[in-house]
Amino acid sequence: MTLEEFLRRFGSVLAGHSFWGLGIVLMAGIVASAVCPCTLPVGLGIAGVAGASESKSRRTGFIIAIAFFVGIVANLVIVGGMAGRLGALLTEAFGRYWSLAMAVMSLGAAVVAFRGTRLKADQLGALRRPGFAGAFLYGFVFSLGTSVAPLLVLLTFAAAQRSSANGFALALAFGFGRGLPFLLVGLFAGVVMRLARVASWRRAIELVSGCALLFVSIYYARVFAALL
Amino acid sequence: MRWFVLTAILLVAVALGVGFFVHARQGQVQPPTSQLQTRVVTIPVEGMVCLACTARVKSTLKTINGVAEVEVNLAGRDLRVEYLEGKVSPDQLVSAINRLGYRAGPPKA
Repeated sequence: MTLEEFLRRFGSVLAGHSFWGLGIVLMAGIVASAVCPCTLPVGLGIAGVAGASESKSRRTGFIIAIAFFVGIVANLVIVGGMAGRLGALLTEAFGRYWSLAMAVMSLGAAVVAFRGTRLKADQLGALRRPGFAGAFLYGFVFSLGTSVAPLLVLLTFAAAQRSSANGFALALAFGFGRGLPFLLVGLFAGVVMRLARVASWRRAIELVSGCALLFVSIYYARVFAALL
Repeated sequence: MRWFVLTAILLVAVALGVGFFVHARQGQVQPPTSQLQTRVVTIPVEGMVCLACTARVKSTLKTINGVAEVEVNLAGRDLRVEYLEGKVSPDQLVSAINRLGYRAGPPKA
């Protein structure tokens, strides 16, 4: 099922001001995540980072996942307010810069993850703090290239249905749906790490996390090459 | 500290490498087109949700023999394909898009 098919089937609910309308928008965000090819590689990367952080210190994995989620939602709320200019974020030229930024950020995160295998616990503390801001920024940039197009489809559809629901509420609900799978994956990875008490495996987990991020970096480098 | 410097150097090296690659690609002389006539078609596509989808569709179509240029318009959810008539048909382009999991509509000349 494509996002357009989903909205054609359930979009009539958007015409009203109901709670169900926002529920449909949230579901549309989840559908957008399900059909987006970026979800799997980035989800693996987030799970790896959240799991590795949780193995270092309790709750840091949760905060990393939440920071990434908040980055996605914040981005969508901001771009939802400039709906008329969204087209500028959907060009191939923008796509080249975006995929390159994603590849470089993922590579940087992979280097940090690989480096983490050789650091002592106190040295890791210094790396953890910028990790939260980094996860937020990563979610924000990720959302620019992957969530703006479905949001535009949604806003177009809502306008076609003569919906008077404001763009802010739609963007917020859509952002929650779009970010929810990543939040759940990150939280799940954190819970698994905490329950399994795998502190002694920390270096191996960080190695896996680094490999996952390297995979994400190569994925976006290929996207960049295809858009040249 | 040393590792941060090394990481920064690595990232700058990657950015420079990519920059040189892009510059080299842009500087390439395009080969002369054949005697076949070039046609342009616009194909509406449903299901593209991100810029990676754009890249996926573009790279797939560009591997088809006879396709000269592909421009994907994610905002308008369509793509413009320049192809050599006789080497490839619009129906083949539609089939290639559908095989990727997207829904291509009827091509418009």
